Amino acid sequence: MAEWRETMEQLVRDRERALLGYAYLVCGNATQAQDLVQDALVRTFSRPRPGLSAVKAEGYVRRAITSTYIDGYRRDQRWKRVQHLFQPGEFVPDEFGAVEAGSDVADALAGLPPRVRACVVLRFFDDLTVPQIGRQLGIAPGTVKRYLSDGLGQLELALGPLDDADVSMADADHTAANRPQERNDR
Amino acid sequence: MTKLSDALRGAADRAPVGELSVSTDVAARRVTRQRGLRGAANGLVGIGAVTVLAVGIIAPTFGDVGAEDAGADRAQAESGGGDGAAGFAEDSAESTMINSCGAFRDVTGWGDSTVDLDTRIEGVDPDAGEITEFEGGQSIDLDVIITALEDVDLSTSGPQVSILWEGMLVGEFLISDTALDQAVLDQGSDLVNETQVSLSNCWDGEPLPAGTYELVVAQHFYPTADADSPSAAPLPEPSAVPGFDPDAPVSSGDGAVDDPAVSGPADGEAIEPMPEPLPAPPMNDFQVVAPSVPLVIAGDVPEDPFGEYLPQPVELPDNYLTPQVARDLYQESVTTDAWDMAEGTQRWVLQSSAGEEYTEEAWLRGFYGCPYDGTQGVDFPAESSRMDLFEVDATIPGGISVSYGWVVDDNPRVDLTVTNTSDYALPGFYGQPSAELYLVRDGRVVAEGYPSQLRPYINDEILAGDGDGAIEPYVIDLGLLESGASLQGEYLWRDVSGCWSESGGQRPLEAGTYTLLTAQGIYVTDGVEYGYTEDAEAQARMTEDAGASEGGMDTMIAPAPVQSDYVELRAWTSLGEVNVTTSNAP
Repeated sequence: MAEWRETMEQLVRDRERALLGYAYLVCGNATQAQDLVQDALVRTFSRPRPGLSAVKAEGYVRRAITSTYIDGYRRDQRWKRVQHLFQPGEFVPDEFGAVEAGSDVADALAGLPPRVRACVVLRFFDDLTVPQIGRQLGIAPGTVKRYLSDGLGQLELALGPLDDADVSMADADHTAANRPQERNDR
Repeated sequence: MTKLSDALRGAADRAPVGELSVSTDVAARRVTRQRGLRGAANGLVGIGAVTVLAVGIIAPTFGDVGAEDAGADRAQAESGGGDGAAGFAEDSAESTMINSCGAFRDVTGWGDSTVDLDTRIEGVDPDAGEITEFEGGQSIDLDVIITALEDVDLSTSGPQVSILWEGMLVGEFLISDTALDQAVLDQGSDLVNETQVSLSNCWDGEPLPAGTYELVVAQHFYPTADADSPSAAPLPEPSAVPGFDPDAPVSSGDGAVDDPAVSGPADGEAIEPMPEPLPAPPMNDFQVVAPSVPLVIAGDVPEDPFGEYLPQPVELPDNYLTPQVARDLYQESVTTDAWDMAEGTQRWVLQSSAGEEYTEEAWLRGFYGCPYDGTQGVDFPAESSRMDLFEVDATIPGGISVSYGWVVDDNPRVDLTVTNTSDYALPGFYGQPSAELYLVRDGRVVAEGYPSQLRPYINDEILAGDGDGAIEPYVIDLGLLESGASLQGEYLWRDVSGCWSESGGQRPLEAGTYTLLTAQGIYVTDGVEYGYTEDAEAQARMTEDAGASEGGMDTMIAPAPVQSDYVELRAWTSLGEVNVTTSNAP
């Protein structure tokens, strides 16, 4: 068996659940998460990377998950056209219960637009800086900032004040002059 | 107070993916195809002025079978076993979805090539000027000739043969052999791969129909790893994640408690900013493309030889709103007059449009809302349009009571209805209208609210009306809101978020009367259906050359064809005034 394939199989054997969980966080849909992980594996192992271990490969696969997700969003709208097919269609009898359920972070993430969601995950899950996120997603740093701000704003509406929003946002942008002030005055 | 990073990691742990799995077999087949590492083994003869290295029968890639699997599958098929036949059919069906048949591929070389590539079809004399006709399904003998432009020691993943019909990929073959993964040549010497290529399509392996095709061979080379070679520089490590130690032992697979990648820093522990990724290593690899060779298959040329394999175009209604029509409508009613935001009035803002030059500040042109950094307020865009595509009706409370950003004393109900008042079918309406509320004072947004949906999935709740302005069903598959149709949403207004100020952080909402706006975005495309090609090496190179892949991934999947036209618009509607009372006492 080729070395790359052994590496890939070890990665999937050991980290399948974590990769699927990460992909789910990025896209909010289990079926799409499965596709994202597989596409990311293909992207990662399609290029010769001598000496790539399973542990190191995981980082590449995670990056590929977000870029695949954003590429898919950016380059076609097919998913949008069929997205409703993957959403439960049953009526939710408890109107207020539905609102409360939306307070969970996964549900709150689901309310974010794809690019905003990706920025939030890369910033607060992967702890990338704004420039790194911009490079990862192929968008301008200013756009990343706007997405993060929008995303945090919406998440705070659902989850309440976020403890690490201030610190992370400040760290995310290495330009101190642009740092927002503390926002815990709610 | 919630810590978002921890919450996200917890959410990843709790993701409902327990029943899912990732097929490494399928992934491996796709990888194999990308790498071109498939085929029968052949012997190494040697290196000389002309060296024949390999003779192999190259099968079309519709199987996408890995090197190890290929032999097994072939053995099964040859033995007549039912399993082999079933496996073949399964692979064929799969490749229809994932391979690049039908893509419009521009096979290009890149990098600083140190070899030339040429192809020769046996029985065809390129200098004779005669047309040699072949039969569909026939195997042709093909020589792929590598000529060293200097002394080289290269690794290669094998030549990739593409058969194009009017620019569309209809046949694809990967010639590979682990015994051929190196090309050590003196300047001026040649290396010849003798192969056979079956003139079959890459969807299901059926013989190519009569017609004129183009055969193109490309091959990717990279320097053989050498400790002294710049190419042996370590590849950039993936960016680390907090608490992620690449050398730490990995967990046993549940990805939960002992998952180093999802373990955040302890509470109160500062989050270390990420180091900049290592610079990308020097890229000395290159791809070289041989001159294309015309290929004629005899017989009557069918009218649409590959139509059955191609995705059918999206069937758009005659009254579909196209991007160009949307732009025209916008321009017909464009104005630079200030918007007085009187109740019931509406203004459209052009957010983006195909063909516009991208700049970092471009989004500011159409932006209205709370600015990110709070450095300044933003006035309503100077240019807007009074175009009439849909109207927004809303039931809103006359007043709300706000305490520390939360709407207290009952969460008022907000109902929104978007009605298509145009003659066009408007795309992109899924589920419910967008519930974005903006509180405006002195022409500037001072706070935003995003009411919570009462029924998050309302698709099944769209009811057919019985006339008299009742809500009509909309076409769900394209998200079309037909002319005269409506889309309704019900929400609870639970909170309101003040904009930021440069010095004071997030501004609390002051008591008083505000103009309440709502915004609906519309993204209009020309309905082009998209397909993927998994080639895109050239694009990957472009991305890398631009320094966009530092420490990250290479772009390996590109769309084909590219999207041709779009326009993004945003409609702002004034819902009148809302009175805000505040109570910031606990």
